[in-house]
Amino acid sequence: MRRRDLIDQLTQLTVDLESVVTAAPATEQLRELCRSARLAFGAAAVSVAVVEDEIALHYVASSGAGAEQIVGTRLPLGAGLASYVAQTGQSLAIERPFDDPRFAREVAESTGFIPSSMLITPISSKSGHTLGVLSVLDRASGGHDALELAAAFATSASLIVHMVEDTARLARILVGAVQAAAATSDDALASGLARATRDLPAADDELATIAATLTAVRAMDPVARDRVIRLIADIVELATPRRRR
Amino acid sequence: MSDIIPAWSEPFLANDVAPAPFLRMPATPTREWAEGDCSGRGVRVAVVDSGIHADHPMVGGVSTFVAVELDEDAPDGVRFVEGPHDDLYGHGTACAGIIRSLAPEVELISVRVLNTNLKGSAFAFARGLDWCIEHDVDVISLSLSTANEDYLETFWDLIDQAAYRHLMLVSAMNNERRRTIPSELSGVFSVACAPGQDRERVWCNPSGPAEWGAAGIDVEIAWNGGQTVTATGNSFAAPVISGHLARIVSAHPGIAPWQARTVLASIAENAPTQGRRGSA
Repeated sequence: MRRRDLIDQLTQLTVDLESVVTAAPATEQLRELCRSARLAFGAAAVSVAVVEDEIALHYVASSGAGAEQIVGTRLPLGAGLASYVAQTGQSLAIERPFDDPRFAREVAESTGFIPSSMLITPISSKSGHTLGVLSVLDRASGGHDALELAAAFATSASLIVHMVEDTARLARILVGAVQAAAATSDDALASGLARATRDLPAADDELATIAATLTAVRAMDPVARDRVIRLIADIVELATPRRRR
Repeated sequence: MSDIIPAWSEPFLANDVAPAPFLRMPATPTREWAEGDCSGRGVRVAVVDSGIHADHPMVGGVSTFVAVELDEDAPDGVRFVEGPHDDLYGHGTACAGIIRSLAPEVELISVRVLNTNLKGSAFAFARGLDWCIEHDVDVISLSLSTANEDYLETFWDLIDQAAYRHLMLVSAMNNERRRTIPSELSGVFSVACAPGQDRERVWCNPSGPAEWGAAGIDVEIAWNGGQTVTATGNSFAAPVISGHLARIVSAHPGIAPWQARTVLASIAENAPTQGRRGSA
C-alpha cells in the first residue's frame, strides 16, 4: 500500500469516527426502548431522562402522548417525582400525582397530557450511581410485576447509555493512538489527521498514552525492541501482586 | 491467679456490673402489653428524607427540623441547618403522616438529607443518620437507601452505634430486587410491602433480608400542598413499622432493639398461636 493511500484511509477513519466520538445520548435506541416499554405496559407514554451535571434531569427520549414536547425538557433536581427518584434511587408508583399543586404540573401541561398514574424507576450504573430515570405514565398492565418490569427496562436503558459512552471512549482512544503514531513518522499524515479531528474531544485517555508508547517501541530496531519488551515484561511481573495459595 | 484482663472484658469485671435489659414478657403477649396505649408518648421519631411539611393535616406538627446541607467549607463537609424547612418532594411528609397515624403523640423530627444536587447524596444521607444517633433519637425511619457500595462500611458502623445506644433503625427495602444500603443489613428493621392497607397488621419474615412486612400497596398518603395521593412502595411500609416501634418504645422505655424485635414479632399476623406453639 502506498503511503498516500494509507494517509487517506486513516483520515477517512477519523472522519467516520467523528459521529461516534461526539455522540449525544443514544436517543434513537432509547426512543425504541421507550416504545417497547409503552407497548409492554399498555401505557399512554414512557420517557427516559438522564441526569445532567448532577443538577438537572434532561428528557432525552419518549414515546406516546406528549413525546415530542417532553423531549429536550430540562428540570432542576429538587422538584418533581422523577427528581426524587433520581436523588434517592428509590422507585415510586403514584396514582393521581397531579392532585399536588406544587408538582411539576406546568411541565405536564406543556406536553398536553396530564397522567392519572406514574411509575418512575431509576436507571443506575453497575456501580450504583443514578444515570437517570424511566417514567411510565398511565400504565394499563404490568400488575404486581410492574416495578420489576420497569426496572428491567431501566436496566436496558442503562446498558444503552453505557454502550454509547464506551464506544465513544474507544473511538477517542483509537483516534488518539493514530494521532500519536502519525506524529512520530510523517508530517503529512499528522496534519491530515489533525485536520480531520480538530473538532473532536481531546484524546487524553491513559490507554491512548500506552498505545503511543507501544507505537514508539515498535519503531525501534529489533535488538532494542526485544530488550525493551523484556524489560516491560519484568516490570509487569514485579508489579503484579501474587495470589496467596 | 492471673491478673490479665483481655480487652473488652471490663464491663463484666467491674464492681457494679450494669443490669441486663429486662422484659417481663407474658406467656401470651397481647397488643396492649406490647404497645401500651398506642400513643407513642415520650418517643422521638426521626424521618430522614426530603423534609416534612409540618402543617399537613395528617402530620400534625414537627418538633425539630434539621437540614443536612453540603458545604465544602464546613469542617465535616456539611452544615446542619436547624429551623423549619419545606419538603422538597412530599415523600418525607408521606412517611411522617403514616407514623403519626399510628403513634399520635410522638415527637416528629425532620432530618432533610436531600438537596437540589445529586452529588454527595449518600454522604448527606450518612451524616443525617449520624446526627440522629448523636442526638439519641429513639426511632429512626429511613425510606431511602443508597446503592453506593463505597458507603457500606460507613453504614455498618452507624448501624452498630445505633444498636449499642438502643435506637431503633428502620429501613425500607428497595422496590427492585437489587442490593441497597442499609436496607439489607441485619442490624436494621428492614421492611417490604405486605397485603392490604391496614396499618395495624405487621408480618415477620425471620429469613430476611426483608425482615418485616406492612401495608404499602395502593395506600393513601399525605403529600405536598395538604393533599393526599395513592401510592405503592416499600417506602410507605417502613414508616408503619416505625410507628409500631414508637408504640413499643413508649410502652417499654429503654428497650433494646433485639428485645423490640421479639415484641414486634409477638404481635405479627404470622405469630404462632398458642395452639401452634404447642404443636411445634
